[in-house]
Amino acid sequence: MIYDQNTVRALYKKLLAFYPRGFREQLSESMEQTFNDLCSEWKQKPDQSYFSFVLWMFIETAIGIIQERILLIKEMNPMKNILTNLRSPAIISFILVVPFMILELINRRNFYEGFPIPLFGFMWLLPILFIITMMPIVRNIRAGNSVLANPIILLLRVVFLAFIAWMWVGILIDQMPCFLGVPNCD
Amino acid sequence: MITSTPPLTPAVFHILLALSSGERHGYGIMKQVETDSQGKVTMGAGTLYGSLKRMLDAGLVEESDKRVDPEMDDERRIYYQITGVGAKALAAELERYKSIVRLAQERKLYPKIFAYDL
Repeated sequence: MIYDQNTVRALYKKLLAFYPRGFREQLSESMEQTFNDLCSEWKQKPDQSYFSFVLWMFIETAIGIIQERILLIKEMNPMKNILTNLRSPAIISFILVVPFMILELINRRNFYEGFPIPLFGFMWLLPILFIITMMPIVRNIRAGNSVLANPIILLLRVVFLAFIAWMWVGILIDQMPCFLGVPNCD
Repeated sequence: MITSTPPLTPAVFHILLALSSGERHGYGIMKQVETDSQGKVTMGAGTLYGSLKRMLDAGLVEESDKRVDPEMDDERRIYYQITGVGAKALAAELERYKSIVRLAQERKLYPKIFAYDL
């Protein structure tokens, strides 16, 4: 049966994992107990729909999780954090692109030829994305946490990182002749 | 009397009211809120614990200990109790309600029927 009590309790425990860490550490044990108490109470009410109760509890708790997440974001001052977090990747990425910009400037066939700003902009953005995607993995390793704690998210990150790296290297290989001033390159 | 304590949200008010008569665990608070409101207020776990978190942070309530509820099974439960700050906030809120009821009586709105009910 889909709403077997043990399954429902296990699912609720999984749902509680979505609360912010501080909240979870302080209150999830208590929440789980309360949920178990409510389940036991509802099991004793043969005339009431256990499924409706479970659905209501899951929805109500999910709303609570969203509220807590929003509160956490508000407390963290997201704009300041975004700017602080973006500064280093932007600088690193710029340092990575600068040699190719210099090559392009030196090897231009014509001084009046347009400088490929969109190309370098894109080449600059890709490493930023790469670093931002990689940051949580590095943070976890530094904090001594297991990177395999959330294997699906890790896998998605690795796939995305590989995709960004492939795109960046692809552009570089494609444009290298132009950077080196090879005639008739495009 | 106007107090300097900010008004409480309905959830916080009901939780403080439930804890004013003694320590309770989460399920106990829910049941007490239901009893106090004659079944009109039903609090889910998300609302209860979201409010409890903010109340713990504000020092309105505190965790007392972990023990077995003699009326339930043998599982140890975390109990919550009202603090001095919480008791003051509850008293201030009740005072606020009292002054509102007094104002309503002065304006002859209570216990008569409200104009919009006519």
